[in-house]
Formats: sequence, structure tokens, C-alpha cells
Amino acid sequence: MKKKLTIFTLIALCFLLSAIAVKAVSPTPEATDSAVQEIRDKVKEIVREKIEGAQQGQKAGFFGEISKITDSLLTIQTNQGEKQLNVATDAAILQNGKKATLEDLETGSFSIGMGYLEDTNLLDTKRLVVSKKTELPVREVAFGQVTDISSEEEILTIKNEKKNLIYTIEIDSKTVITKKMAGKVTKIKFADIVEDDKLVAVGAPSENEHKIITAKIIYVIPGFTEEVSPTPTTKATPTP
Amino acid sequence: MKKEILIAIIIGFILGLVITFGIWTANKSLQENTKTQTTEVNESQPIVTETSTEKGQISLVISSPENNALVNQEKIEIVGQTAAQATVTILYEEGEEVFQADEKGEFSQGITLVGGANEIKITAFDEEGNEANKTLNLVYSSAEI
Repeated sequence: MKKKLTIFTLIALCFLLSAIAVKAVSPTPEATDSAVQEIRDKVKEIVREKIEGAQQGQKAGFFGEISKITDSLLTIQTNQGEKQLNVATDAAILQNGKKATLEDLETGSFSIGMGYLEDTNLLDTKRLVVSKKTELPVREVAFGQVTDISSEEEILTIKNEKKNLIYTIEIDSKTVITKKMAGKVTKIKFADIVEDDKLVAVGAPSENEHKIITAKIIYVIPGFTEEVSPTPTTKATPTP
Repeated sequence: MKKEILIAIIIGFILGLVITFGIWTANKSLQENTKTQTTEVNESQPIVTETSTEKGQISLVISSPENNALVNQEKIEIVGQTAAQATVTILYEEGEEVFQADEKGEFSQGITLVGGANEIKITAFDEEGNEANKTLNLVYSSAEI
């Protein structure tokens, strides 16, 4: 009986060990996932280091409003987040065209720092220009498919299906309307635009119940409706 | 004796199978837990890369010039890649450009900079209206630094 029990225990143990061994040898999905993730992280780290290394010491410029001044370190608020300007002692500082010092600077002023990148958000600044920010006219880009054309008023209604937005595109005498035809960008007339044309309009935005754009440029995207005959022009102009 | 060994082998085999099944089930439930946790982490901290595209978006990569570059030339070329035949618009300080990328989605367009800060907005639309946006900040100065 003892012998039987021993044999039974030994065989059972053998199967148990083989089951564990098989389990240990088989790569588990989580082990594979974590290994892949680890390699990805390492590659990302190396790429980031290489990029930062390559950028370090490169000439660069940051611009934005000064939000904080601490000794020689300026913090500016840019359209891409906060950046810092480490203003060197020998840096040229110009305020409204005149030589200035760090003490003359005030928060809220628009400044342009030029120098060498220390890291992505820190600039070793060699030249600092403080001036009024040039206010530019607001422009908007609209994409859509023509759903309605008012020939008399020269107004287009376009719909952007993706954004579920309707734009009213107003055309004036300065509006340049172009379309790529036979490989060339050609000027066309308002009358050449047909319903279902897809287009991109660039211009000054305003708003009532719909978005209104007074178009400076309209580019009719080719290939969506039957091509219209080009209006003869002396010169093919891509954009003004 | 042979009969007993045979029974022992069968019992041992069944026991081995039961244990393997137990380990497999435990691993599976652990893996599901890990996946749930990973999803939660990913939702709270999305990884954003330059070339990643979300639903309703297309890729847009500007290869030249680099963002925040300090340039000493008034006229520069904006070089990049997006969806094939995408319509690209560039809004810059002194004007606008609208053109089409080529069959590979590559484009190159010259623009003129103003002295100092230049905020350049680049948008690409594919034929379905999916879009991608990038903003380039460039500083143009002829002064030596």
C-alpha cells in the first residue's frame, strides 16, 4: 500500500511540476505587453533625449507677454504655454526701440526673446525686444460643401458636415476665387461655383445665427462636381 | 500493479489539468484587471504625439522650419506632409495661402515674414472635411546674437 501511495504521489508530482514548468516557459500576454511597453518607453526616452540634445544650443526665439520677472529670469505667456527667458548679463535689451535694462521691464509687456535653447521651454536670451504687440485682423478658415448660392447678392451657404456648422460666405470685389484645373490653379468667377462644390474660404469672421465669413480667398476643391469651364485669365495665380 | 500505475497516471494527469486550469483562470482575471486599470490611466492621461490622429482628424507634420525657430531671412518655405491631396491653408502675418498637397501629401509653400514675432497657422483639410491644425511661432530678426 505504501509503495502504491509513493508511486501515485510521485506521478502526481511529476504532472504538477510539468504543468508549472509549461506555465513558466509560456510567455504570458501581460509579460509580452509589459516588455513591449518597456521597449516603447525606452525608445521614446532615447528619441526625446536625442531631440532635446539636437535642439540644445540651437538659435531660437520666444514671444509673449511677460507674466513674471525674477532677477534675470523672465516668464512669458506664449500661445504655446509658459516659456522662460534667462536673460544673460551681456544681453541687448531694447524697449520701444531704446536701450533698456531688466529693471525697466514690466509684467504685461509683449516681449520677444532671441537666443539659444537651453531646453524646450528655457532660452538663454541674448537679445530681448519689448514693444507693443501688432494686432492683426482676425481671420478664419472654413471648409464646407455649397448648399445654396445667392447669385444676386453673391453669397454662398456652405455646410461643414463634420462640425455640423453652416457658414455664410460673402463675396466682395476683392475676393479671389480659384480652382485647380488640369494641374493649374486658375481664377474662376463666382458664377462658376455650383451647388455641392466643396471649398475652403479664408476671410474675416462675424456672426449672426450662422457664422459669416467675408471671403478674401475661396478655393474650390477639385474633383467633387463636374468640372466647370475655366474663365479665361491672363495669369494663373495660386493665391494673392 | 500495472492497473494501479495506470490509475495513478490518470489521477495525476487530471490533477495536473485542474492545477493548470486554476493557474490559467487566475492569470486571465489578473490580466483583465490590469487592462481595466490601464484603460483608466490612458483616459485620464492621454498620450499625445506629434503624428497621432484622432477621429475626425488627419495628420499634419511640419518638417521645416522648426517651431520657435529664429530666422534671419524674410522669405521662408513651409515644408510639411499631410493627407494626400489635402487642401492646406497658411495664415501668416502678411497674408494667406491656400493650395493642395501632392499625391503623397507633401507640400512646400513660400511665405514672407515680418520683423519680430510671426504666428503662422497651418490647417489641412481632406476631402471629407477632416482637419488638422498646427501653429508655428517664428522670430525673424537680422540682428546678430
